[in-house]
Amino acid sequence: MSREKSKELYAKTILSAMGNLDDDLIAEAHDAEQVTVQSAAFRLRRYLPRVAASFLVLASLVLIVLLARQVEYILPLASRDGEATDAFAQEKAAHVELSLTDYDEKTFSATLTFTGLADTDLLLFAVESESGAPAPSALYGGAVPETVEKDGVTYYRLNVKGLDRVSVTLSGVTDPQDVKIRFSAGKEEATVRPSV
Amino acid sequence: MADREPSQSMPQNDAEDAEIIELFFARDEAAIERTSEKYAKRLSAVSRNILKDETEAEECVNDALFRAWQTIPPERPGTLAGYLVRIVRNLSLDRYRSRFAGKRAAGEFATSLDELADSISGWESLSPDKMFDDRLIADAISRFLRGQKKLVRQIFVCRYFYGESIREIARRFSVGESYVKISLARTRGKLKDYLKKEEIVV
Repeated sequence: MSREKSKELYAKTILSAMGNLDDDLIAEAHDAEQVTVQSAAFRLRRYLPRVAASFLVLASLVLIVLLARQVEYILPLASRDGEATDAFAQEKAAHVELSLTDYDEKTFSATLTFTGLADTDLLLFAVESESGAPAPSALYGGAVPETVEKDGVTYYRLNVKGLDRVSVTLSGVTDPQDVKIRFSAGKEEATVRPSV
Repeated sequence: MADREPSQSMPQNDAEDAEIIELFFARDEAAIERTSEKYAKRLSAVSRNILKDETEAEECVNDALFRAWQTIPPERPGTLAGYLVRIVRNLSLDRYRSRFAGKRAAGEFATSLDELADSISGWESLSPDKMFDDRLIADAISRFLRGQKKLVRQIFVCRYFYGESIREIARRFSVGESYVKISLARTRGKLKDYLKKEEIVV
């Protein structure tokens, strides 16, 4: 008998003999209930290390974020003790600057500076509180600027024709992190939330 | 087909199966009805795996039910499910063989044949005085499988008894396809060694 025939005969004989396997072996392989239990156990065994690894990675990321927040929180507090001239980082527009000017144990005064206004005649800005707390009030040249309503938001309106920069005093800032400045100058529109 | 004693850890007849077997013994035709209700879907799936033909599979299921009616009694299956599946599998395999007589077969069963053929070397062959004794070889395979881990033997039986594809088996047991392939290859090798020890392969 050729080798190929011999191999083929072996395969056919085994497959044929499998038809006479013990009934319980046959039933066991296809027992739906057992398979379900087996599957659940296997799924658990298979995925548990991955789940654990993912959890560790996630936990590490959360820890890093928490530590970063701690560092971010501590550093500006330390500098607040000195001269109150901290410049807040601007989130979006480079031409808006907010700096603390005074601190009376309860609230800050801050100077809000708009720059790059040379091509703008009209500046609209709104001071809002992220948390919904009373928003700080603004003073320009010692007086409250005129306000206008736009899209449900009250904006201060300043005529800045011929000016490149404008500074406004904000008073009653209880939490600098909570302040949000929404402004519109010519084509520029941005929302700035100073980070402390 | 003789009645065999299932081992303690293996599935046995539940109360419903025992009741159905009693109906067979009482020659009550409700036995066929109850068997069909409980197992027709499963039997049909087994036959379909082999034949890949819905109509032929249904015919095999009907033939299997009739065969069960003819053989119980005197047979008293230790595991009704296994008994029925074995009948339908063998009937389906008979049809499969007659369909591909003298031709190159296709499908999962043909692939299974190739896999098994590849598990022996060209120098090995079945013992001439044992090669036609299906029952002797089946008993040896059953003994061998009982010595394997449960998942290993389930995968092996699903592949070479039920004719399921690698993908189906992987899905059934929630393991990867490569796991199934490796498990099958190892088991085929071990089986050949076992059959050599039993002097079925020489």
